Amino acid sequence: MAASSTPPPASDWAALPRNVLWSIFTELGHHEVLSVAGLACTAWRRLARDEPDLWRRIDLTVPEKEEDDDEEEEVSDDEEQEGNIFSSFDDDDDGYGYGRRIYWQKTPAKVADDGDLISDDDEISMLDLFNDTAEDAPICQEKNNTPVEDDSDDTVQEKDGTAEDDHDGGDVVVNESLHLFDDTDDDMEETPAKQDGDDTADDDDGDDTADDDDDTAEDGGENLSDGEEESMCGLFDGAPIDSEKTPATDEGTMDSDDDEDGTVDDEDDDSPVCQEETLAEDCSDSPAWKAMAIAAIDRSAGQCEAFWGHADDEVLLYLADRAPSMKSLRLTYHYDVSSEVFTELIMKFPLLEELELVLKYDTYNYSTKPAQSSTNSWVELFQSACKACSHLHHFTVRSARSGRYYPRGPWSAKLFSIPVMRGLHSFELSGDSSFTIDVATQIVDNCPNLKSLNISDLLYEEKWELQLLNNKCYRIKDLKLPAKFYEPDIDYSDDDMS
Amino acid sequence: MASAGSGDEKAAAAAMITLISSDNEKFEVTEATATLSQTIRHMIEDGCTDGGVPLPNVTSKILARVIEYCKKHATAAAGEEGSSSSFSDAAFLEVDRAFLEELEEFDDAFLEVDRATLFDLILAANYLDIKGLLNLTCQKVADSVKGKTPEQIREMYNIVNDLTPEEEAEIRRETQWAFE
Repeated sequence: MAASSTPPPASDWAALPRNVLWSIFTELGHHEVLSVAGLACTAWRRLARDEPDLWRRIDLTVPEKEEDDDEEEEVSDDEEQEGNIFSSFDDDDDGYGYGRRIYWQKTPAKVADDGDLISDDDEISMLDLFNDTAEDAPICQEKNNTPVEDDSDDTVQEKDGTAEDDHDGGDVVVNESLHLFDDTDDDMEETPAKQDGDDTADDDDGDDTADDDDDTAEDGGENLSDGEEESMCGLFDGAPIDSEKTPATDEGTMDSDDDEDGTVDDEDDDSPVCQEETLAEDCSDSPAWKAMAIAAIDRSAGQCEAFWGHADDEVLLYLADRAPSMKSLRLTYHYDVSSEVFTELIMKFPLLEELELVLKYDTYNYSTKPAQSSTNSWVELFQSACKACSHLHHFTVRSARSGRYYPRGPWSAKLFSIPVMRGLHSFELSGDSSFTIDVATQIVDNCPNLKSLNISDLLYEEKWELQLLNNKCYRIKDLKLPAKFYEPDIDYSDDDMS
Repeated sequence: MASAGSGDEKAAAAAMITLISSDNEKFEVTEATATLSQTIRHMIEDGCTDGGVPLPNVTSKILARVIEYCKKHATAAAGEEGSSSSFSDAAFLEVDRAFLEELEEFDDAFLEVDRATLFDLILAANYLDIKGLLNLTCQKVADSVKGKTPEQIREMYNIVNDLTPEEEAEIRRETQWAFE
């Protein structure tokens, strides 16, 4: 077959045996298969598209390496200099929230390399989080005050409002967190507000432009001219959020982009596939991952047992209708959950064994959706999951960024009840401080086989009788209960900064 | 074999198998080396290796490389087995790590080949059913493809773009995420 010492052309890579190509695709990961390798030729495409088995465990998360490198380059110095309490948060988040996010932004950014930095907006903002430069802070604040989109607008205003009206009833808590930021440094001050602004903007864009995208994809699918591209671009260029953000980190991001850009520049001319959509994606952020997630789900042809990656309500609902045997769901990005949708869709995953949600960071509650009251708790997610998924082994919900220093009012006395969960082995809930000892106790009582319990991030309240809970937990090997929360902690960090 | 004592091991090591490449070159290898290939292992189990094992799909050049790989990895496997019985746990871990590092270096060096050779190695590994080698080579291909565009992949691997205009259009519809 393979004759000896044949010159390269004799190797027919397109005709690799199916199982070999399978191995290569598996090594490559779904992200690459969907966006690149599956498009190389008919044979490769066929395997990528028509083999549900290949998509049984959809993993659209991104390997740690790539973004770790970038992050570390960007971050390390600053972090060392800062030496503040928040640096450790960045570490916590590695690979979950920001790191991956950077990657998602980075990929589309390749296309818009000649000055169209719109696509960089999120990436930039992520890097902003790490780059503790003096210029960043004011720009970001400006950005947050800019009317952007409904939701983000709301959040920002809400935030500003509370900052001014210090005694605004239930929101007193928030003030604390803001003060905390005020006291520490500019960078941190920008963090929560920015996060909200960005995310909500994304989500809105996502919903809106997802539709736009579909339209353009169908209308102009065969006719992608540069002109259209530019017009899309211009459209988004004009959006305040972009123009505000872009100048902030030109330098910072260009460095990190260059490596990857180098290879891509040449290709823009060669394969003009879908540039129009791409740019739209760049601007709006979400359709790329969304289309990818949906395509992956389609390809799994109902056989999907695991989905790891980025999703929103829409993707999850789509998945819920097409993956009756789903066992492992890991949403490792900033999933902006709405409890109604979650309750609905979790019912469709009766076989779910592993659930991990990294929720969007928010100081108030788990969703920025205006209708959501701040008394909702992530505990509710657990409650819904327990009711729907009797096979649950692992349950993890954490904030994309740790919320442990944002005390908020006690959870309003809502009824919490879960069935006995014999299968549950590990439970982690972090980043939400509205958690009561009663809930914790009930979880311990109703999950007799719990081996790992981590609620250490939760706000400790004096009235908690930890000893009692501790006694109940004697069987749990890996136990992390809340550490006592006390003021000096904050003072210490403040001193440290000044 | 794995469970056998040192006596059997020696016996296995003593048993030699002759592999015959497509261009009729003969390679004599130990059974331990040869059985890294599931294909050959089955042949040995079926007792049909007398007079040599003809491998019409594998050239002498590639077979030599494959045997090089198998020898190294068979030695490593044997070394691990030996060390597990004669060292304490800590020492065993130490030795184990050294072995793994050495093996990794070997693998890296082993993969320093041109694409045509890589291709032939893949086919040979696939045909001979040598899992480790197949994984290694596939990983190499995957790494080289990562972060490239479809066009770059075609260039690298001499893949003809045989997508019909209809398929291209379909791809455009399906894949808004195709950035390049």
